[in-house]
Amino acid sequence: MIFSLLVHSPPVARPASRSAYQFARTAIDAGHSVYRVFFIGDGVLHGTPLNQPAGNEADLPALWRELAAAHRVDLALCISSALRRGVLDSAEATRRRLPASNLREGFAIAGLGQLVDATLKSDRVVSFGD
Amino acid sequence: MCSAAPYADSRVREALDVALAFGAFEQRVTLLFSGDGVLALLPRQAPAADSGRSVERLLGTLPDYGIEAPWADAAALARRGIDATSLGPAVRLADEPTIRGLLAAHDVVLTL
Repeated sequence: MIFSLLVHSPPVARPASRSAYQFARTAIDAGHSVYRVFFIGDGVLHGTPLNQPAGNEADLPALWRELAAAHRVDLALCISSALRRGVLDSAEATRRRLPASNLREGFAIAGLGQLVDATLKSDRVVSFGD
Repeated sequence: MCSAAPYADSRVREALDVALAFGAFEQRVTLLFSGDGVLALLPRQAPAADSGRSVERLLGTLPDYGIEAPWADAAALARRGIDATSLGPAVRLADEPTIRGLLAAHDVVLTL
């Protein structure tokens, strides 16, 4: 079965975010595939490389990055949510004449069309967030 | 499905953006508001100038994208003491069996 996920909770202090990762991990381990994880709202905070979790906290963005690289999962950040929260790739930072970009490697900025695409190409879409 | 309060954060506006995007791609879209999300359906909203787009105004654009009138969880309205008739004719009321039917009738359910 092909899954896609919609994640709208941030990577810190939200059980739903951890559940999203664990769901994807478990699905892949069970032989299913994850086509795309679309992060929206505060979920786009997974896409900055500047997170510094405490020593005993899971580094969810890094875990997603590893999972995506190993299993060809597309990690997409909703562009309008990302802009509002200051997560930008270099092209957008240049376009807006901002001093820095901060998109974590392995993640991509995407429009809502990618969410539509994910629902059309997946057997199931599961939402995570509170 | 949207259960977030309309101006507490951006989730309702983002949910509507998602709905409009699916409508623009000619997908059949149904909106169901539950929990605090039913507050988004109250009329005569007057958000502060710096609160972002009016949710009420966004809801008014649904027909332009071929999206039918939204559903409101009747039980959520009752728990909040909201008179369903105050929402106007453009909102449909959903009891629990109706909600189950809506969920069953759709290929994809997104929750924000």
